[in-house]
Amino acid sequence: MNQPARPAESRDDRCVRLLHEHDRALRRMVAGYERDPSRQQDLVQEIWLAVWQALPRFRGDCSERTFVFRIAHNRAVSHIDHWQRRRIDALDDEVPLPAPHPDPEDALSQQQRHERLRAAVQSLPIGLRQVVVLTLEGLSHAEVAEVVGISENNVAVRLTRARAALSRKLGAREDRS
Amino acid sequence: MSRQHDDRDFQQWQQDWQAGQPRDITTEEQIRHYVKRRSGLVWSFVVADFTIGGIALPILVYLGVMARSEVERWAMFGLAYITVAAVCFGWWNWRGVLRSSAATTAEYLAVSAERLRRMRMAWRIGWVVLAAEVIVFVIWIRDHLYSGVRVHDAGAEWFAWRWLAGFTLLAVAGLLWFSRWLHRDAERFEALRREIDG
Repeated sequence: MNQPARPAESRDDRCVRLLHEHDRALRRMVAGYERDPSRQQDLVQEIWLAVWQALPRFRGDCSERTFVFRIAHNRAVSHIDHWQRRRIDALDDEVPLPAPHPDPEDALSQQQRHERLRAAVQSLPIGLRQVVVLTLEGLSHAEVAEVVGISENNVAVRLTRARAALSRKLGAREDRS
Repeated sequence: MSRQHDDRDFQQWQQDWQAGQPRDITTEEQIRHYVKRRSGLVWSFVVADFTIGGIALPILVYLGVMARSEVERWAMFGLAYITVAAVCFGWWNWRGVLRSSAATTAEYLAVSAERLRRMRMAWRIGWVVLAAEVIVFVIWIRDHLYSGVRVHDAGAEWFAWRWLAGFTLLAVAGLLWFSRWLHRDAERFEALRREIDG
């Protein structure tokens, strides 16, 4: 699990490697928190800067993925808090989900399913959104608990509620179309 | 719904989620978002100008009418004139740059450049307004404390000058912060413009 820095790896090299390994996942995660594309970009840059700053303090007491996601999570939560206080972008508003593609075999349909899922995730309350985004990225309950700072039991409870909410939102949309 | 069915759904969602392509924002989209956001900021300046002016003006006029000396009357009316002038300048300065959208990228760039120019102008006028207010306050406080018309204790003197110093320092800090923010914003805009032009 522990992945301390490789022997000759500088901080910059390590940050670049982490960026190659986790940037896509991080962008997906950020898209789950923030709807505005330009603010998504700002947030991703802010997260990578925070990762670079925190790297010297990383002692390998968790996996690098957990380390990166923990920083990303903290930044994303501060980001949401900041913008909600300014009332510029209320992420908890009901989001109109894109309609499913008529042809499920079409190459676009998976991207479209992703868009619908993302819209549904964005409409969840923040507490559920944190847990579901990380789980969708493939983190285990233990890793999610470590990133968010709650117990594994709490993760399981929140995930059950999030899954039920997602089923309702996605199912209801499919029924309407 | 069965537990197995739920798990299959979730696995499908995981696949869909992880297959999603993060979309990179284009520079044209960035300039559109930038203009929209700055439009909100400029409107907040206008609203703040009118709100502060709307609150301060009746109070200053009332204090001017009820003044106990000619100097105090002119000081209050002087501050009222400064307030009216600042609000009028603000409205004049933001004319034509309040819109949040444009037809072409070139127009978006033009409105952003014009806004930055007007913000610099507002910043310069901010120093002038502050200097004018400090002068009026100094005249008023001196008259109030040292004209010999009224008796005052040391506490009043201590309070008056420290209040003026605190107010001035706060305003200077605000203007310096705005200057730094403006500088960074101009750099952000130039980077966007270079990307679009290049």
